[in-house]
Amino acid sequence: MVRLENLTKEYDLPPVKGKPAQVVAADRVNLQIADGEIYGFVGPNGAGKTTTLKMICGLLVPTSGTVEVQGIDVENRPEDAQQFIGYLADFFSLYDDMKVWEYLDYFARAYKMPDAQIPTRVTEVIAWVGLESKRDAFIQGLSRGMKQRLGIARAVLHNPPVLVLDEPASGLDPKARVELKDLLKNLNRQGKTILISSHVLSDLEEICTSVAIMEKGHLLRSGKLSSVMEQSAAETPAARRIRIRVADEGDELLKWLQSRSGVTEVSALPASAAKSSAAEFLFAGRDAELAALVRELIMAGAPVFAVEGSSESFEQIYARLSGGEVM
Amino acid sequence: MNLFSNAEILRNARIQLRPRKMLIAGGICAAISIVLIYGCFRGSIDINGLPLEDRGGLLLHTILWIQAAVLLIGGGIACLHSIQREKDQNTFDFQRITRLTPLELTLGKLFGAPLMIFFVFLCLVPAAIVGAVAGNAPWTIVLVAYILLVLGSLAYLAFAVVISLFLRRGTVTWAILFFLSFVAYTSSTTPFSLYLALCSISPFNAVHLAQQTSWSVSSSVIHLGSMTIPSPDSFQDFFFGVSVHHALVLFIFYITILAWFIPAVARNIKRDPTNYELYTPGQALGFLCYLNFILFAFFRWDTFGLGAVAGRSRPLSPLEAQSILLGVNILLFFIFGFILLRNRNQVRRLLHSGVAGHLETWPAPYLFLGALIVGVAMILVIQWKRDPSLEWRLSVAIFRVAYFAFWLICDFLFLQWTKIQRAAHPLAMGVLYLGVYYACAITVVTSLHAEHNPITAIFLPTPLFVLNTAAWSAHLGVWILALVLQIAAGAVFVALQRRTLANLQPHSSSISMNAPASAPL
Repeated sequence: MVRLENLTKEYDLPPVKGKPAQVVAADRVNLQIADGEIYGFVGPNGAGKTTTLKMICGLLVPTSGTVEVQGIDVENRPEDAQQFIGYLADFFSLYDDMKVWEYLDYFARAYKMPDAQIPTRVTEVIAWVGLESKRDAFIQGLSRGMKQRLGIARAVLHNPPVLVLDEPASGLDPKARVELKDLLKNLNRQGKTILISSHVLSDLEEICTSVAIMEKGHLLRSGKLSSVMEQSAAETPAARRIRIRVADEGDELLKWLQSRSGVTEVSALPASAAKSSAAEFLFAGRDAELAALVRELIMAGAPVFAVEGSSESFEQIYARLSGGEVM
Repeated sequence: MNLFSNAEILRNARIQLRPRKMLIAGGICAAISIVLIYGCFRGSIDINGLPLEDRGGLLLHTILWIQAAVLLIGGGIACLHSIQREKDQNTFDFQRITRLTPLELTLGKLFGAPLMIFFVFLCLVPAAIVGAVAGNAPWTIVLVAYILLVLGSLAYLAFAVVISLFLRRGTVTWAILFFLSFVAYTSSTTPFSLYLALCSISPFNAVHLAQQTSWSVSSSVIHLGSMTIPSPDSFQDFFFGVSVHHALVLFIFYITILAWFIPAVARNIKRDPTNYELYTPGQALGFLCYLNFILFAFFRWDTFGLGAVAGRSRPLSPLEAQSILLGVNILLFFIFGFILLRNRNQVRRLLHSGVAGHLETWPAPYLFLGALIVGVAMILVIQWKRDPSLEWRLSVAIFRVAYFAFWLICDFLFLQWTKIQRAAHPLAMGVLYLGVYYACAITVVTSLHAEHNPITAIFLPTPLFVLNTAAWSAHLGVWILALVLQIAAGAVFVALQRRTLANLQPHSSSISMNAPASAPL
């Protein structure tokens, strides 16, 4: 369990054109992340994701508020809490003049793993991230993707229950991204709690069980991915495209739709079957309002046999909530 | 704690001590050793006339000098990079998040970063042994010389690690220049001998020690211009006037310096860099007292050396001694004051915690306490050591301490106020403004020939250092006015600081948000 309570971080940015800026990177953030979750942190650059993740790891001290990892206050007992955390930073380097196994061996010792277990664990982790052939290679000769995998290997080396991964997919090619997702799913199946930030929303939507949408230090939404989507759907959403098919010919459907409020851009679609017609339109309203519209159409005698519509994707929800901030 | 199982040392060993690198370094050392041995025993340079023992001694001293240079320069540069490079390469956070204790990580940096240098040092030991055996050098002296060389170098390297901890991106070159200048300055003959009955604190002293044939001390002196100072090979220090061997003093000094520097790094190395604090205020006060203890203990109460400066023929009066002690304490209190200063992040955290107290007066309470302790100790020691026939007045001495305290408090209240301003380098700006103020004030005062005028004390502390009983009695009102104005200036900076603190109150100065408050789960 990771718990953030009123977590706040204020700091100063280097001056721009002589004017220094003060930023609230995290503003009274409250979160509870249950064991076994893959928790995604989403937000544009400067939203406070990295700062929040670093505070969770005890690498930055909060201006106020507390972080608990496995029930341990990270600020007061950092070393006790950090044994439960594996961390991968967004911009990181490895020791280029070490060999792959030496690098992992160093961190295994630094995490105070029993000496007897270290060689086995290092071999195990190297195999798990698929770097067996590079075991004795110097790190400087590894590709970006391999280095990323080695970074993840280091993060999981001491078998921590909580993994904090800051933009782990940045700079990876599509194939390496797929491999990374598989690695993360695999880790989650082993019971790890994973806190991950990413710019690639579709990736997060695919692997995360919960999300936190951040902007300018504020938590705009947080919780189970499904509940965030539902909560969002319950609010006034952006207009979405709906298709209705009726078992009737003619332009009655188009005329009826054009007279309804909330309905715009009505157009006819090619009929999918004989003696039928179809229309497509933009509907600005909640799901309940859409249901009312369809009910009304049926009550008016239209033989409706299909209503097709897309719910907002996570990406659309994010775009709407963040007010168009660039990711 | 086993250094050999320290993961950070092991990591450095794996990187630095690869067989190929060791072979190259060992080969170079062997070549240097062979050339030196050949030069000392077979060469035709002007040592041909020397007996074998002297040639052996020469070899030993040369090797020791090279070892000292390698340890201090090479090791110093390695230690200056030890933390700064990790920060630059974004690898430091991964070390901070491991289960290495702060002390383990600190020792890992101190002993790990210069591992190749230590290897080179060891490679040169055989040649030194050849020199010691051929030179018939007393083994106890050679052993102690090596102990002092290693301990002293470690003390300097620990200082380099302290500097590395605080370095910002792109400042390492300046730090190296500073460190090398510091090594050169402390290794020269004169810096401490002017005020202190203490030979050089440099590890290069080990070379001089190895030249000794017995443990006896000498009172040999050297003349540098108008100054007479002890010779580096006299090895005689005076601890409250009692003669002690410099090797013993150095041994204790190095151990105590390490005891100050290593915990300083250890208490910060795993912290958030924005929250670094070299010492707690209490520890900083202890460090000030420690430095003053050294100053008082080894102060030239007998005026040896100083008496010869500028043709003085009379011993120093107690008031002159106090002037010198206060003058040296300007540097010591500036070190103390800079340790106490807080940055905006630290102040913010205190404000958010709600237990801030009177932040606007920081760091005045500790500076005042420090001045009180040092001032009282200074007056007591002078009372104890003074010649009753020479000029001394307790009220003058107390006034000087009080003025000194409030002058420093005023300057540091200003620096603390500037340090919590929103700027890229607020403290540097503060120091710059202070420097400009003093430069202008000194220029004006000097051009008016008013350096010793009591009215000058309103702007500058210079008259304080030449204050005597006659000047005190003649201008009592002006002296008191100068003191009151220092207090008033301090009060102005307290008020300014209070205003800045108001802007740092929780959320009062946040950027405007266009998003709603967070939604707790």
